Formats: sequence, C-alpha cells, structure tokens
Amino acid sequence: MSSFLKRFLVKLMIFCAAAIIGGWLFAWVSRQFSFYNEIYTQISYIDESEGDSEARALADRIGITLDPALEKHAALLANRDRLVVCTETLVFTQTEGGWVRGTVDRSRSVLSENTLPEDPLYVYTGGFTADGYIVRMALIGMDAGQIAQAQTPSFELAVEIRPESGLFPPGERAFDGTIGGGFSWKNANLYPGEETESQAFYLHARGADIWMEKTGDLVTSEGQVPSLILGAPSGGRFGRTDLVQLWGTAVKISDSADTGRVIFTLSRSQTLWGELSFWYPDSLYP
Amino acid sequence: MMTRKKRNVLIFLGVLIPALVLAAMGGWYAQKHAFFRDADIIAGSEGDREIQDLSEQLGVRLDPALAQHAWLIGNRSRLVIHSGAVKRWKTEDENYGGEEYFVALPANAGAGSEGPIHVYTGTFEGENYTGSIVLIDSGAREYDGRPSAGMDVILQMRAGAGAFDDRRQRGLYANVMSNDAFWHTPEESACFYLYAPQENSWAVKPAERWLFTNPADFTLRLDPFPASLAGGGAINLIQLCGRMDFTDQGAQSVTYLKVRFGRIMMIHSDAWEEWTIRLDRGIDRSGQRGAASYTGGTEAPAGS
Repeated sequence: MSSFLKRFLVKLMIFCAAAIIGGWLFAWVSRQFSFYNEIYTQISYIDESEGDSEARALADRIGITLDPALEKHAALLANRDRLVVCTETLVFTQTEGGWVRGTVDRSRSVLSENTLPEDPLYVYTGGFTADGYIVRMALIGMDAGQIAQAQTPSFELAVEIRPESGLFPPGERAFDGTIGGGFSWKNANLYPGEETESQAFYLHARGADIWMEKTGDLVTSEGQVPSLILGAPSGGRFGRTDLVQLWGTAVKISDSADTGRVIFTLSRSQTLWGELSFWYPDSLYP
Repeated sequence: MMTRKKRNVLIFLGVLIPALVLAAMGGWYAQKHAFFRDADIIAGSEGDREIQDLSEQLGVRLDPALAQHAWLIGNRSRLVIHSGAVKRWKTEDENYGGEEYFVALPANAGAGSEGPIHVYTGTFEGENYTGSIVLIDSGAREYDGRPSAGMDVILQMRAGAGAFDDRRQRGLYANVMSNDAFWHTPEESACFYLYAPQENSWAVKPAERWLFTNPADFTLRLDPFPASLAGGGAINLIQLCGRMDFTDQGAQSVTYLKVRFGRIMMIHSDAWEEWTIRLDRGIDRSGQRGAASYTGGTEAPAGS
C-alpha cells in the first residue's frame, strides 16, 4: 500500500469518526432544545422550597411530590382543609395490548360522613409501574369548578412520572396527556384573556434543587424530555432530571349530556401507555 | 463457451433468487402463524333453519357457537327487527371521508332492560366488499359500578368474490367519534371473528384498542388479518362484535361510527375505504332531506 493511500485512509477514518460524533452531538443538542423551543409555551426556573411538614405529609398521602413554590401545587395546598384524600382508589390493570387501564373504585375508600369537611374536595389517587417508570396520578375535585374557578364542570389531573432507576435516561422521548369524552383541557381558546395558566409541565432536577416549569395550552412535553436541566433563577446550575409532572385542568365542552365518561390517555413516544377512564361527576359512583 | 465471470454471476443468482423466495415464504408463514398464536379456532355449528333465517334477516352470519351470537339467538323470541333502518344519507361526493349513513333511534335507546329487543340493520357497499351493520338494543348493563345504557354492535365485511384478495393487505377499523358514546373496554367484550366456509371454522381474535388521534376517537382494530386460516381455508367474512355505551341515559345524542376497511397509511389515502354511520338518538330530523324522526322503522313481529 502506497503512503498516499495510507494517509488518505487515515484521514477518511478521522473524518468519518468526526462526522458520526458531530452528528450524534448535533442530534442530542437538537433533541434537548426541542423541549425548550415550543411555541405557545413559557419556560421558567424555580428554586425548590423547603415546604412545611404538612405539605410533605399531604404529598406522602397523595403519592406526588408537592412544592408550595409551584403555582399548581400551591393551589392544592391552599385547599388542604377541604381535601378528602381517597388513597389508592385509582385502580390500574395491565391490558393484553401492553398498556395500562385505570378507573376509579370509590369502594376502596371508607368515607365517614362525620369526618368530612363542610365543603369537601375529593382527591382520588393511585398509580402503576411500567417500563421502568413509577407513574402516580391524582384526580382532584370532580365537581363544578371547585378548584379551577371555571364556571363549567371541571376537574384537575396530576400525573407524576419517576424513573425506577432514579434518573431519566438520555433519549427519553415525549410524554403526552390527552383528554376526551366531553371534556377538554382548559385553554386560552376557550377562556381568552384569563391570566392563570391551566396546564403545566414540571421537571425536577436532583442535586440542583430546581424545578423547570413549562406552562401553556397542552399537557405534553412535545419534544424529548431533557435528561439534563440547564439553568436556574440564580443562574449557573444544572442537574439530572429525576421526575416530571403533568398538571392539567379539564373542563366540560359537551352540552348534550349531564353525565360523562371521561377518558384520559397518557402516551409515551406517541404510543398509548396508560389510560384513566371514569364517570363524571363522582356522585354517579355508589 | 461460458466465461468464468458469467458462470459465477449465474451461480450467484441461482443461490440468491431461491434464497429470497424462501425468505419471503418464511416471512409470510411466520406472519400468518403469529396472527393465529393468540386466536381461538372454533368449529362452526350448522345451526337450525330458524337461525339461518335470522342470519338472513339481519344480514350477518350468526353461529350459536360464538358467545356474542349465542346471546342474540337465545333471545330471538324478543327481537323486533327494523330491517334497513340504517339508511344512506350522503354519497361519497357529498361527504368527505366516504358515504354517510344514519339511523334514527328513540331517546331511550339502550336504556331498557326487559321487554322487546329492538334490532336495527343496514348494509353498505364497498369496491369489493359488502358491509352490514346490526345495532342491538340490549339495554343497560353494569359498567364500572353503575348501569350504563348501550347497544351491542355487529359489524360484518363480506368479500364480494367469495374470499378476500390474497394479494392485498387488509385491516378493519371501527371508530366511535363522539363525546356521547364509547366502546366498552375491548378485553371484556369486543372480538373479531373471521370465518372460513370451506373449513366451517371461526378464528376469534380480541379487539385491539388503537389511539388514532385522541382518546375521544376510540378505535378498535384488527390490522392486518390474513386471507386464510392456518389450515388454508379462505376467509370470506370478518365480523366485529362489541358494545357501544352511551354516556347519558336519556339525552339526545349524535354518535358517529366510522368504519374503515383496508390499511390506514399516512401516504396512501386510497389504501382503505371508509363509511360513516350516524346514530341519532332522540333527535327529530323530520324537516331534513331523506331523514325522519324515529317512527319505529319496519317492525317485524318476533319470530316471523
């Protein structure tokens, strides 16, 4: 082999290796930033707060991390005297199709009339484990406008997704929560001029003690969920993502029926992953 | 005289072509057997004259060996059949997404529990297929802790030329597009039945839930399905048997059932045919073209 050919082959190998590494890096950065570059959404960084023991106790009962520094969490905590937490009443089963189906089973919770607050706000909780993730859900306030201040029947749904390994792996793709069955996510199209955001997507970074909050009209991560959170209100911090939360307010859009069968689907990378369906309002349940 | 190069090319092709053919056959065989791995094969029963008459009246093949059919056959004395109650409303030219059919139902449809069972039937034509739909007012049933009004549905596609074309990919999709109705959970009640007349056998497959656009568009599908059973008997009809529940017991509602036959592909919109069946529950459309308020249809005394 001539020395020219040798030099050419070496250069070609270096070029190919650089192109592969560069392409991979470019793709990774693009995917990371696709999460941040969505239209109609706002991103902000919030320092994690200590919270009080009552907030931690409520978070333990619901099974979802709560931090008064976040608007959605603060709204729930402000109503803590009214909350009636029905633990593990969202019951999930694995289907043959590979996804998880859930529904409300009120009979699992013993509700004593004597201990109920005057104006109770029911919270149904439950969850499932699938594909290396622990998923927890809380269905809040299935009654007309109790928490959402909406004039129409509404409810709030919170979903927490936490990797069993502790940290989100690089390359995790989008999570998406859609609602159907006569309800829709409350959004700016339905309520123009309303300042409070109805939908929020929260990411928590372990070690950096920060939250990244993305608010907008859709309860979705759209782009790939970043495994690294870069930035903080005070600047210069970053940490690995260890949990994400989807919080949404759903409002009734169908006028034709007094009752409804709500279907919430949670998809992961555009594939059906979990479903929660239930009768609305919860007074339909015995 | 053959050169060495030419001979090598011929040897290469002689190995490659049979290998490709074998690989294709192996893939086809594997795909077909994978389909039947979770399928139950049920021997068809002859049925008596009465069942055959009922099948003809409804426009779908009924077999007492199948659970969903057995309930209907067992209650045949209570049936009040409204033949042709599912009528064409809009042609393909008038309606984007295939022909539209409608059926007028009383406001309390699906809510009863005793007395006559009203059955509404209709047919629709495809390029090489005949579709039939049977809506059975089987009354309210317990669903997730409360009684739920609903109707059983039998949707049948029969091949026009005696058997489905072996060269084309097939799938059947049934989509409830409404806030006022939804498919009963598939694992409990919805099945696809594939019938091979030569073997007089049914292959039973559980319906698969498919997320097409959003959760309100609740789709059951079987895609793809083969043109013959594992034993080689050609399949000439496929049925979806399921139950559709209404979200409110007595309210007026409009429910669209979208039927698609073929393969749903992003790039070839002509890979499937589709029909829309609109269920008007308690709605008076007497002032509109071709439609009428619920009149009771063409009631036939039970057993006649």
